Amino acid sequence: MFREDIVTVKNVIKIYRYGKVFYEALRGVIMSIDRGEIVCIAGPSGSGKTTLLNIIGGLDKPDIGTVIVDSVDVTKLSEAELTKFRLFKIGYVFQLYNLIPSLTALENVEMPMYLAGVPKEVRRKRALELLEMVGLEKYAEKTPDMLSGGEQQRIAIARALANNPAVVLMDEPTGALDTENTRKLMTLVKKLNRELKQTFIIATHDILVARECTKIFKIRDGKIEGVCKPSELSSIF
Amino acid sequence: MCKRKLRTVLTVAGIAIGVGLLLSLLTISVTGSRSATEVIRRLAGADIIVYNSSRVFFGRGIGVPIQRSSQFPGFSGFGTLVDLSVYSAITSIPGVSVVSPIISFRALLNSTTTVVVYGVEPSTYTAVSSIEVVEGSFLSNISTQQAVVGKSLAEELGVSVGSHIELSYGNTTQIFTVVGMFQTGERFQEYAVYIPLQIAQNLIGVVDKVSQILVKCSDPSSVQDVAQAIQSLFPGLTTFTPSTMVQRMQEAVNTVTTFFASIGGVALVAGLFGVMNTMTMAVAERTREIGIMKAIGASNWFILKLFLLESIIIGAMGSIAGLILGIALTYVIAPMLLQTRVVNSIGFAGRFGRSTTTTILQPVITLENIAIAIALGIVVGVIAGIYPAYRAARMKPVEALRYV
Repeated sequence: MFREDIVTVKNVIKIYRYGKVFYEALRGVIMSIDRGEIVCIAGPSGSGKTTLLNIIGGLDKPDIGTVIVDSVDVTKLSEAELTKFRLFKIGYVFQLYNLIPSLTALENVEMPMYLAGVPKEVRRKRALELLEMVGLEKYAEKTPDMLSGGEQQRIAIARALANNPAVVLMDEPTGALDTENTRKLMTLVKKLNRELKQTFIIATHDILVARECTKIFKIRDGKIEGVCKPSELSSIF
Repeated sequence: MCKRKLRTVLTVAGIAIGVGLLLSLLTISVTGSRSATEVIRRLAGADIIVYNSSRVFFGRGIGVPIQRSSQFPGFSGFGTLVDLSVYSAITSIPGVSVVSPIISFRALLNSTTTVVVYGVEPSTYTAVSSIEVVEGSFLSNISTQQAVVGKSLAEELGVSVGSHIELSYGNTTQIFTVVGMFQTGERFQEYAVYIPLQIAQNLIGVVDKVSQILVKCSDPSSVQDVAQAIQSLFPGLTTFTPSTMVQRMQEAVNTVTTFFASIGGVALVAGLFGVMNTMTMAVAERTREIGIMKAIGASNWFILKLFLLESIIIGAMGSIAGLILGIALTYVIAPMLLQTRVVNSIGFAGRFGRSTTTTILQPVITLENIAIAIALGIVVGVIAGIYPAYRAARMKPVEALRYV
């Protein structure tokens, strides 16, 4: 089978400065991710999962190293170019409070398309399709506070898919969900991966999530400690 | 904005107070200036008014003047009369072009309404005054029982050109034919009747005496000189130059307006800080939201516009609330300022002296002032919103996302 790297991370170092204190969040991360994979970045809190995800997603810049996403060298982009990169190449799902509270589910899903300048009719139609895809079309007119945590996360996934991104990045997407909702969410992720060939990169320390991925990168103290398949999980957690 | 209703309402109120105060004061200032202009227009012609400021209680102790220099002619009753010899003396002063004597008093019209009656000399009066006759004509004959009545008065009494009216003074009653109607635009000024001078003198029983003398100068720049000349000839009389009065009145209105406008300005600046505070809080509260929007591809410009728009909306709401408040305030403040200063000033000029009337000048809220008030609120919204919106736009997405 033809393999194509969609994300390549080369020797990425990220140092945070808090006054006079330096904190090395990433210490030379190397990884490559194939198109169409569901990749898990697993590790304890403070291991650098979120930092790595933010750098891949163009929200943060590494101090050293290169990150190539869908043939774009993210580290070389200006701030304005990064904004465009996030809009068209990346879909984001966070742990909590993902949605704009004053907008309805439908409007939240429309948001990235609105920012991309998609005409109203087109984006409305696509947003409804996406809501149907995540099984929440009947909640289109509800605002986030009327939805459960699991439903909100599914809406966030629909929003992440709006502009057909190269990669969907999920930062602890099940951190606030119970087991049942976690399972439902992962079933949805796998379905979307299968049907749309969508690449997902999920940062988590939840074994239930890791088990459903195609590849697991174990991260600790800002370094990739190893890569394994779900079947080898017991040695990681 | 919608979530924090109370905060938004309070912020809007802050702007509304500033805008409201400024609008009502702008309006009062405009109305004041208009009235001043109106006074100038009405008095156009009469450069100097000469009258006797020593006053008697008419009917009792004539000739025992009680000095009351602040008393104005034409006010509730009338002052000591001026001898007509003054009239001929003034005529011979160099620089004087027209001199017109007037006698004014209160009389009962058709036994029902108290009106101010002006006895005038038609030929000189029309040269000095800018009276506007809207129906019929002004008095034409000095010796016939003709009358020109105010339009409002005529309408109220059902009188028209050609009708007869009765004027009673003391025990004397005379019948006059209405030959014309005049209009001033101010209702209270139209409760007056013009009749020929000599007939007026006969009615109240005086001979060769008048209440005041209107003087028109050939050169407007010589008004002060002529006034001084009259004053030195007749030290017992008072000369009054309307242009000086108008100037003083204008100054008074300006002082009051400036004072209140400063209060309005301070209120508006306080409102501005209120909006800035609200917007800074809104930005802080929505830090995570800003982070999410940036993460999904919103540009700095988009975030800036979003918060600036919110601030402008608050400003605009403040403007609209301020507009309503301003209009309400105008009708509360205006009577206090305009009734005492402007209306009395018109009476002061001695032409239509119903000083006891409660009629006040209608404040005129111009479209221009409304536009200024709305623009002010919006400008406040923009100024107050710029910094918080800029801060929101410059927020680093990674840091914003850490905020929960």
